[in-house]
Amino acid sequence: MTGLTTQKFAFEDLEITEAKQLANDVLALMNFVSADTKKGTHYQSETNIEEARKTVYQKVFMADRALFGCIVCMSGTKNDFAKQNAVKAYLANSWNTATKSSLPFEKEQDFIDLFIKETQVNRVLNMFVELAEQRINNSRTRKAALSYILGSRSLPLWSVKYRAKLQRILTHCWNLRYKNVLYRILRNKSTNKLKKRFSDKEKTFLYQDVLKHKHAALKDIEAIECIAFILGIDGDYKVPLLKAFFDARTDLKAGKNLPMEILEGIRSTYHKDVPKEEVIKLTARKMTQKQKKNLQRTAQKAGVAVTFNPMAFTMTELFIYAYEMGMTEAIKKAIEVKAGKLANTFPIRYENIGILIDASKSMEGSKQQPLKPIATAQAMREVLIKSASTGVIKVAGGFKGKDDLIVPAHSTSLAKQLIQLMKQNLDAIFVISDGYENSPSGRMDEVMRIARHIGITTPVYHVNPVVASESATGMRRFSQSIPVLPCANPEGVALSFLKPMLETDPVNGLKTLVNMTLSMIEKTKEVAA
Amino acid sequence: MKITEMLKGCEPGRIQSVGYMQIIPLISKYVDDSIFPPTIKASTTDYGRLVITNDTVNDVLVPTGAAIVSKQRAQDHATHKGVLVKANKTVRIDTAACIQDSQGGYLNTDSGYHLSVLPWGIREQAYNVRERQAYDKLWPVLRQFSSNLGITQNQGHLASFLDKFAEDMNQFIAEFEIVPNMVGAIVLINGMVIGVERCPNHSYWEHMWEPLIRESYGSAVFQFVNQTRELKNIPKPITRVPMADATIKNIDDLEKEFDRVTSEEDKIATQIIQSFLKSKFNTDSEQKQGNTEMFSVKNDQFLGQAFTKDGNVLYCSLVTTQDFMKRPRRNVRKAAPDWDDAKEFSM
Repeated sequence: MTGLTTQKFAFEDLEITEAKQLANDVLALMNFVSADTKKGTHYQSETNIEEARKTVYQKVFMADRALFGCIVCMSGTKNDFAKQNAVKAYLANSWNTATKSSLPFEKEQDFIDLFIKETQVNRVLNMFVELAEQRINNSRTRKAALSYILGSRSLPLWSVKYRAKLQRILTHCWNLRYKNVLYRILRNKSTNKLKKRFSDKEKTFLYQDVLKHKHAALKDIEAIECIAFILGIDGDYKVPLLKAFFDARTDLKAGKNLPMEILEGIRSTYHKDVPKEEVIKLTARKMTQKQKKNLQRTAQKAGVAVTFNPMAFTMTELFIYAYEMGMTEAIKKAIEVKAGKLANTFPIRYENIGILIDASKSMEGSKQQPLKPIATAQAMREVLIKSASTGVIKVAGGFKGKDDLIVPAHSTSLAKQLIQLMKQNLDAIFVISDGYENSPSGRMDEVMRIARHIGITTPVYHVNPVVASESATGMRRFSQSIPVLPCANPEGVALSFLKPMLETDPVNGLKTLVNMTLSMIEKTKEVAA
Repeated sequence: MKITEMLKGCEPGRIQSVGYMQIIPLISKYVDDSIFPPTIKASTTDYGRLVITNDTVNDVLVPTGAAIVSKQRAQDHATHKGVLVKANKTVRIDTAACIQDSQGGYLNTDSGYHLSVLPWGIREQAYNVRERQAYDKLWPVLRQFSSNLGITQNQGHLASFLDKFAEDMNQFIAEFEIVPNMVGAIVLINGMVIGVERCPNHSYWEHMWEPLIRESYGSAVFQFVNQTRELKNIPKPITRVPMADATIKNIDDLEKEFDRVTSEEDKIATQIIQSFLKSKFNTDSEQKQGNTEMFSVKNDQFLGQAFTKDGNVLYCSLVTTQDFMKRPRRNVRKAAPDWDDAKEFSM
């Protein structure tokens, strides 16, 4: 869609105060997007964070919805939560004359396409369900949902895996009347001869909002069977997965190609005497990488070898896994490879660096996300070390656990180690901490203030893996003299390095952010092509 | 009984200081793992009559000032008296107090509840009326406490305080951290000791961390903020020694100065502890079961309870008296010589 009138503007046209304000709002959003994972933290409830998130998101979205997309885009490929929020915001707020954007409408569609493509299927579907519940049903939302679902080659798999969600979304997109007519047409046919028995009128009807979107690799009859299945029609299906779904009710082995959780549901309903481990054995080959990782302990007990590919996970996820199941050579190798790749994306690099890890008790995280902060800290340590020629590492608090993993413990006292690092003539120091200091609070600020006063200029960065809703910037900081680099996972840390630029030169910082994003989107498109 | 006996086997950890509150962790390897935190069933059979059922196979210790806050349509209750409830036993407390003045109904054991500890500011009054059988005995003080904190509705409900300050307390508690082998703490507000807590073991302390630090002592922070709101310059806590930046010329000086203030802060913490170590308590036995005994304890600085097993104190919960709090800066002082320790004159 082109020709939409809107309030397009250039950053150079902004007054200095406006540019600074926008840059500040962008910084706050960057903090949230980089460290926010929807869950509560050691310090904050989900509700608190939700409120703060809304305010921060809205400010940038209202000021420039293109910038909003840029920040999300640069926050790392694994940041599904931010991407879901961005897509929801774009789809729920149509363009009109009051819309402010520094990029044209087509670029916004690029953002939506990219974010949907990079987000896990279940999360995209959850997002569409939420949009349905909010009764958002504009043409862009309908098109996005229908083409995503019906245009997927994996429609048969999704049909058995996400049947209820798909029914909810499709009914919303089609409208109830269309769905009811469709249901009646499909129910009245014998599904093995669906195609032959459709009248021309029915075929036109089916094409209108079903077959028009279907993936080229799927036959019409296959897509139609999937829709019939999603709508809850039982029948003699020919699509193998749909057939397996019904056959497994009488013979569990017939469901070996079904997703594990679906087969487990069938076992617990129709084969109560069969042990749960049988399902793991049958579906081990078909599990997703995440299921394979999460099922290691159960699989061990069941005596089933389930190997997963560590390269499919973020570094933080791998560290969390290592805490539970132990560090293996394969995981170590994956972490090393990933750290090397990420280090290459850093816009700023230093030769000799110091790393100070806060391993106090609070770094063990919240009940909802146990070990996330300390796992992220160790992942960041690996990336930072790879980005430099030499590195000195110090750990404040905690102790060395199994496989050299850091176990958080003790109070937070970082200032002494910071001074010791400052004595080593390093090019930069990275303090990885949640930013909460209690032995005593404010000591880091005192030390930094004096250090700067006596002429120590070593750049000190605070890498923060935890969002803080009580702070206007969304991130707890030790001192105004220490810039914060928010980092929920190392994959999105490159964005954080733009922060100092946004603080000192807002207009150029904003322009750089947009340019970096556009170039990244182009590269992604080229790779896809 | 002296505090030295109550804290026998404990060592002070590094002081934690955030805003107006400080905590000196008490660390100990001398623990008793046979005493469990209060995973109990609580019910009321009459107003002011709290029945505590321990249907586990472990002995549990109900802490001093325990408050049962329930979502039921029933009066929440509290008891100043901590009690030991043996495995598979029930204890009835006839001197409990209602902490929900406009709510009728009895608590039953079927529904869950939140275990809190009475706010620091009303612990003393609760101690003073601990033997009185009157379900409404805490209402006036609870209403006053709520009013002082700006709570306008349901002032006689402890739950009103817990609801209104829930988010503040969450944030506040998170600033402090439980350290390894921690079994208790000395709690200070702006450098003044306001309480001493010791638990039988680390797990018990972890269980009591939120009820005590978040809610009971946390309320003292809100009271302090409220009282000092009008003051322009609230003095920095004496436990927080600022770095003297004028004398620092280079990084070595900075490190030396850091070490100096750290050592100074440790000394102050030690002095604070020493300042009350030898004060003696008047004790009254409240509950004796086999080799265990629960005492109420009081002197001019503290009041509360202590629990012993084979004569060793495993648990104590002491709060500073309001009278002592009004005295200017009494905490940090050189410990006065204890005449009991003086040797007899001999030639």
